[in-house]
Amino acid sequence: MLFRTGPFLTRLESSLPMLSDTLDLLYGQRPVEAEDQLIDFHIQVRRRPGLRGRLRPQAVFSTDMDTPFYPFPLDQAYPLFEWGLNYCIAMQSHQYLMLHSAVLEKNGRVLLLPAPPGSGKSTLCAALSYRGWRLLSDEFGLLRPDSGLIDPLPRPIPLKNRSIDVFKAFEPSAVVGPTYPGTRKGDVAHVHPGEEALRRWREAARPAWVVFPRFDPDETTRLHDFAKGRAFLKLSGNAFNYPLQGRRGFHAVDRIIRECSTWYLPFRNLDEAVAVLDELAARSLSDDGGS
Amino acid sequence: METLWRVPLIKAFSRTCWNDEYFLFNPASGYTHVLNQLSIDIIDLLAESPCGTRDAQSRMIDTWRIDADEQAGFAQRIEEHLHQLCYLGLISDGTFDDTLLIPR
Repeated sequence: MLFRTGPFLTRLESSLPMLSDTLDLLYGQRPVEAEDQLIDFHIQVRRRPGLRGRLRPQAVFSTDMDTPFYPFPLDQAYPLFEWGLNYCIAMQSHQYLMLHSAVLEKNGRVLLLPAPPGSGKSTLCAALSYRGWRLLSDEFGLLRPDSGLIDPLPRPIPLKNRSIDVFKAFEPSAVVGPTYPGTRKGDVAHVHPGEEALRRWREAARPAWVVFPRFDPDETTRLHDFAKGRAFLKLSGNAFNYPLQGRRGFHAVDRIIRECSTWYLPFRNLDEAVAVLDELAARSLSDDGGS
Repeated sequence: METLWRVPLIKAFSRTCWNDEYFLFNPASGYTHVLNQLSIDIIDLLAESPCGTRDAQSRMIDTWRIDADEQAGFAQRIEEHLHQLCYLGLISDGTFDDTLLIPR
């Protein structure tokens, strides 16, 4: 199976139906590419062979000659594939400064949501993607250091534990894949990235806002100014390959911080957070005279 | 023999500044350092011309226009900053041939 995710072309070899069924559901009308192209990642997800594999069915992820993870239970083949693809991108895509951030776009401007695990970043990202924001990525801000543009990498958004039901209640019509209970990251389910995001994968855009979100049920949902210097440190510290990029990475982050407004957003529910970010986008549009 | 402080990597550093905080990237280590005005002034002073501790103290006292009754304490701060900056790899005390570190 050959398919495209943003700028990357992946060849996936697998005969596991539980993987291909979920891929069909979550990547939907993914573009099927011709065979004569350069392939970025060669991935295999296979059932573990031998006696042990028969006694305890497991899935093994491998890429080229590398098998970076211990086998997963066979019924977790899909999350294994998604984490494995993350691994391939993080290890090989150093043409980009890879920001650890959710990335969405509205009116041609990019919102960066860099945040550590547990902050509600993915849940908020999924919510925004179903409220008029185009998903560029839930995990990787693929920044071209020289132009300052971010390339889309639209893929299913992984939700964990309680956030799965929170999101389903927020958007009952959303396409959500199966829930995988008891993975190494808890219960996991993936949200479809949206047809528009998949269709517009070539459309890069420029960052306008850096917002550090944090779910906190006891806080009022509102934007707070976030000092530029602190934002620089947090954004560069959250990048997967910042030290490797050297001065190029430093100047790329510096440019983002100079060109974007920087905010901290505690939020107690998704509706309020979406409303606040919609207002931020609308305010910027009106500041520009509606251009 | 007195230590000769200098900044062998000055041309390789990148820096930016927000709200009196300086962010200095050292490509030799891959680290970004957050520095105060005093540290940046020391680095700039040594980049202009390498010097020993006493000379650095004297020049910084002039630059910062420190009152006579505060000069001893300020000189102590300068010496501490010199050693700290050296420890971070941002300046050199000349004990080895650090010109080899300069990126091409």
